Amino acid sequence: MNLVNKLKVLLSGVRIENSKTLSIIQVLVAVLFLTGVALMCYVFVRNEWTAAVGHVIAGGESLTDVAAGVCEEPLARNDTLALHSVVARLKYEDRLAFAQVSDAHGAVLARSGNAALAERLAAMSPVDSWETPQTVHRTYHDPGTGTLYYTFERPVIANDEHAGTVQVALRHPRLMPFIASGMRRAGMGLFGVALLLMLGNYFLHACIGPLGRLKRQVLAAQDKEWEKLELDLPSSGEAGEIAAGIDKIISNLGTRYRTLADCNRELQVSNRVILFEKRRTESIIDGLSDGVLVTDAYGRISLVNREAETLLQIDRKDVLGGVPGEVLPARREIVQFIGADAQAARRRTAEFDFSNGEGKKVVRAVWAPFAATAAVAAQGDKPAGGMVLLRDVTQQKMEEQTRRDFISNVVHELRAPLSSIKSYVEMLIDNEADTPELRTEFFNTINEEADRLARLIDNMLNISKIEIGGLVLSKSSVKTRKLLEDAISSVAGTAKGKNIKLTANLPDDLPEAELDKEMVRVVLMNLLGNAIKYTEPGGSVILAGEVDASEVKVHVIDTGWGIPPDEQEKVFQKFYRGKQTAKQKVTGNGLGLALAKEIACLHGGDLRLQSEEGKGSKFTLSLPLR
Amino acid sequence: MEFEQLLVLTVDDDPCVSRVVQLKLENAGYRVVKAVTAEEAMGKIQQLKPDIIITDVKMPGMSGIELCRQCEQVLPTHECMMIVLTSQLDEQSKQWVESRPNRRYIPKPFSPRRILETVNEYRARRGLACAAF
Repeated sequence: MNLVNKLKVLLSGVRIENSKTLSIIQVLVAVLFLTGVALMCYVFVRNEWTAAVGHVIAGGESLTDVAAGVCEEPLARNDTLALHSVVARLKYEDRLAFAQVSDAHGAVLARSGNAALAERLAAMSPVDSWETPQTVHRTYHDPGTGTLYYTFERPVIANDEHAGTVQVALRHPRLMPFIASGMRRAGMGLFGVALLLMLGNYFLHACIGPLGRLKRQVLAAQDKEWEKLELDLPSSGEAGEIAAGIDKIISNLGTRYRTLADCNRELQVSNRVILFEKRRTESIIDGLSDGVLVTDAYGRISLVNREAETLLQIDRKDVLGGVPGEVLPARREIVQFIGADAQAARRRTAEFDFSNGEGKKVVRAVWAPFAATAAVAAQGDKPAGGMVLLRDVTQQKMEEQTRRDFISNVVHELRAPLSSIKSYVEMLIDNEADTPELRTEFFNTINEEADRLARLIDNMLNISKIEIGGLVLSKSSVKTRKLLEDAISSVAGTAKGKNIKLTANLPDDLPEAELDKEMVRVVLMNLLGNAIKYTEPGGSVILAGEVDASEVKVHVIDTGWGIPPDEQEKVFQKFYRGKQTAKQKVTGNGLGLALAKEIACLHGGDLRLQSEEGKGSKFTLSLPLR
Repeated sequence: MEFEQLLVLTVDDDPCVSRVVQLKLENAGYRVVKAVTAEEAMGKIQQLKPDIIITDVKMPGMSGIELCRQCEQVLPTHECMMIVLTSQLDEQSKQWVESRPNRRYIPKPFSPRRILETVNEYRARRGLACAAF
């Protein structure tokens, strides 16, 4: 078994390339075989030859022996006739060339066969000679016939004396017959073998040749590019079939390859398109004014846009791919918001207060889960992640608060004079004012409060018009000087009643200005009214004007209580009442200055304040001429 | 004890309101002192220990509600009635005010009669209490 395996291994190691070697080996083997056969033939022939020679010699010896024995008596009697008949009988022996008997002196007494040959041989020298106890062997080569002759000489002893000699000559066996038969056999064998070998070789080449070619082609092509693949393949026989199969495979693969190459190109194009779309979508998301933060189905952050980065004060590099709890440590509320019922697929809204680098903010967050796909739904109720929308509603909140405050202030302010009117009227009804002075006081108060209410409503109407943007200035060319003088006359009575000195300091060259006459009048009335209200009796109020190239300035200066520094900004706020005003029991609604400033600003001008507590205030209204 | 002249403190930045309250209650026999701000009122409370405090809520500086709280803190044992007189009161403060019998909320526009009634009622209770004692 071991041997068989070894053979198998050996054979399996036999490769196509070795076919040449195989051929050579075959040839060698053939040659060896032929040589062997030739050797064998030669040996065979030689053996045959030797045997034949031996046979001849043995035959010759025995023949000579017998002849000598038979010739003994005739030689003794000198019976030539008997001797003739003996040699004549010898004639029929196989291969006999001649046979002769000679007497003791060597004269030939009887001879049969080829006498000429006998003569010739007697004259030649032998090629070889040896002696056995009874016989003298000699070997002659006859040049005439080219044949070897073996002669056997035997002395005949009769009456204890040498009576004569018997000589037999046998022809050397003919090589030809031996060789011929042997050669015939060998030749046929060799021919057969040679034929087989040739056939074998042919078949070998027939089979292996194409395979070898195929193999060479395939090996040479294995590193080539598809496009450059050109196989010169055998077309016949089994190798041809294999080749055709390979060709088909290559052709199929080639088609496939081209198809794939086309698909690849298309994919590349659509990839670029998709990438472009993706980038555009990302730009859009990045440009949204709301912050967007997207978490995937595993709760990890997958998208953060610029607004979210700003609001949360984070960098998208640091949070993408992370879990909110880990990457947003400073935004616990947001983390909780995302985490709370993160598995529930419903929208939730919440508001958070937090401060980032830009100060305190109120941020409204909306959690919008993505619709679960069929695949995700199969896992239960888990949504496929979701989106947190963040909006900075600080401004909105402030505005809402301002509006609430405004309304609450308005309600309060409206109720105040109304309350006074009601309570005074009730007091009158109940006769609580039992003196004429008291009654007068009551009636006056009711009247004033009614006026106050009216003014308040006017002011508020104006303010709300400004707020809504419905207040439109109707500008006309206004004689500034007249406007100011009219204002002065309107408050002259009130000033006199309070014993306050009212002065006008107006330059002569006050030009005309493009102003809304009614609105500016409101401002002037407010400022003058305040000046008088907040100045002690005996004080003074001055209305001064100045003009330059582009604007006119109106100063209202009083010697009143003044406004402390911390309140100087606030007095222009709606409904703001200074602490002093409360102390000094002066009524007011807190809207006058707010309105005045708004009107000034609408004209493109401004209203400024300079004041010193205890000394007085100076309000400066600046209005552009055009 | 016959007719106790109870001391009333009115706190309001609106002089009309204080005037009305003062006139009404003085005519009914009460003593009335006025304060314009809660801070001023606080001082007067500690000094004069009024029996009745009638206060507005929206005033510059401390609010009327805060004044009531501080009063209770500073004078826990002092028995007095606190009337909150205001045009608007938020729900929380309203509940706080009405959580005690000696606190009242009267909305503006108010009726001076009602003020008088409330104060008289308190006096009656006080009187009864004293009588009982």
